[in-house]
Amino acid sequence: MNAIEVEHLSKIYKGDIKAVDDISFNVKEGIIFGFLGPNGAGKSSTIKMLVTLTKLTKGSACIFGIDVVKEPSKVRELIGYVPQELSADGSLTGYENLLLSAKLYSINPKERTERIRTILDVMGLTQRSKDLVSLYSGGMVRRLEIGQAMLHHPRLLFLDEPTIGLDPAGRKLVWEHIRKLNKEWNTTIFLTTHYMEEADELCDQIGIIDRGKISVIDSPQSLKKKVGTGTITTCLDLGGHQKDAQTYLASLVGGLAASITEISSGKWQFVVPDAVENAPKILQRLNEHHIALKDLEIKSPTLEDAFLQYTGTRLEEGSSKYNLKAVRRQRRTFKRFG
Amino acid sequence: MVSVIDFIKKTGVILEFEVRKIIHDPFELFVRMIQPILWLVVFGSVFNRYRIIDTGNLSYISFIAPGIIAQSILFTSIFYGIAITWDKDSGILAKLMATPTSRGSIVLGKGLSAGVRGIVQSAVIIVLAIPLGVTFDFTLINILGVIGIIILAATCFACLSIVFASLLRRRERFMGVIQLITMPLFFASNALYPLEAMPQILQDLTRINPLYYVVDGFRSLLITNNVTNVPLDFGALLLFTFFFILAGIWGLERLME
Repeated sequence: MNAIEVEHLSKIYKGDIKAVDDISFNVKEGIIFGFLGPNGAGKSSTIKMLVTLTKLTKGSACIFGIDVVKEPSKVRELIGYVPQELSADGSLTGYENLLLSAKLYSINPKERTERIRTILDVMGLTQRSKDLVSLYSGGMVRRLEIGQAMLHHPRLLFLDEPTIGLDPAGRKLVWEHIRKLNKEWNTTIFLTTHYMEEADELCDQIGIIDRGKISVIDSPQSLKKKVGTGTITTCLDLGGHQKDAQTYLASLVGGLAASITEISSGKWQFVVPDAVENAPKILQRLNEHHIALKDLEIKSPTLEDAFLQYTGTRLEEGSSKYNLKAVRRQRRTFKRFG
Repeated sequence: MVSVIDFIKKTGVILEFEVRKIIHDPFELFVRMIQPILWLVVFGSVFNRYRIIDTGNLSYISFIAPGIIAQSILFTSIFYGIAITWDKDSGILAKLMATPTSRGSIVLGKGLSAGVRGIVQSAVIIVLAIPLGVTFDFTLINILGVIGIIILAATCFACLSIVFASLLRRRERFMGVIQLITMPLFFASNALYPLEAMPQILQDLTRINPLYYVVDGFRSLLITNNVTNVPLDFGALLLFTFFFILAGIWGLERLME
């Protein structure tokens, strides 16, 4: 069964700003699906429509076959949602935040205590449950929020930029919890991210989204495989061939490298299509001609390369229109939680 | 039927957690009491001594005590929207609205919590007003009536504030506009002087000012015990409150877009 079915979905804001531009996709039950794209690509706008917070301008969306426009309250019972901002209430304790969610999802009082206890335990927050959330670290707040969204055992969990602003240790811990919820609780997860590693580490399927449109949907492995291109960066001792280095190297590696560039004095970069196959061959040829290599660095294709290939832009550049807003939001979040 | 019970339950939950927040940090509640106390102690006492405003048989301080209670409720509740913009910016509101909780419960629950603040503030002002020479007419039914008006008034102004928050969005604008509207609401009412002291056009305008009915209700129940107008006061306040709750729901939806 499909957890999410989206057809020709658009979100157009005042002033004809197309945040989401006619996208269609399905997400199978049980997987971790990620929307990868820069700030302002339309990720949050899509989530907000799917969790029934904003109106759909065009198209349709169903969660487990239930239409988000026609039966929003039914949809709300099936899903959990963690917004991008650190949104646990800082003026309540961790326990109270969970209790609030439990009551809003009408979990009966007998079961409530047990579920809250389990969630605190699973998320590693039992010790701090009586403290006000304003005293929590960013990572703890995020875990608490994911816990809040999981209390009613939703079949589908929406996470909007789950690790934005977290330090590497906090990020790893959140990843672990997301995987656990997916594997052990069999929760389908829909997340958005602009972090390559996050999409690569966590997701079974990735949709690359930029300027409101989905360019491609596939698994991280096959996205990388399709790109194929890797790079070899190394310092070469070319002996007597210093002057005609470029042509000399070109003659050596023949058609194996797409481009050969001297990026700094004596340091060369080979861009290698189908890197898995061809990179070893290039190294072998250099070796055969007794060219000494120093500081060798081989880079296999990354999602970044896939992103570049499918969207024509690098992820960090993105579309800058909304960046100011995103930065402000992050700053506010950090002000709140120190 | 199920949905009515669910609505009441969820409204209670929203209210419960708003009250928990006040208990965790009652600082604002206390700070907001200082201004009405100053009005009563400084302004009220001075005007009382010189009998500048003709209030008939009533001493001036007894006359304005209900006005000051109403003012304290207005000034506290009307800033409620700032909490909503904060909840909106921090994602709390989005998360809340993605749970199976009706928009009506959210607006009403939050509005009622302003009523809880109002009850605490009013009680403190009443206690302080007694040594200043205000003679209250306490009967159980009157006190219940006063509590009813406090809750209606606070909910009404808090919902009005949510509407402004959704229209203005930015906190700076919100603060400016709210400052701008509170003074006319306060002065174009019978809080500080009797209606007859105002020019006719202002007298007419007071009829569309919810604060007028709040002050009139308080004064009738707490001081004069002349309850002829109380049903009208309640009726008008109910209408205003109901309308602003609906507008508040519209405001919440608008804030999310």
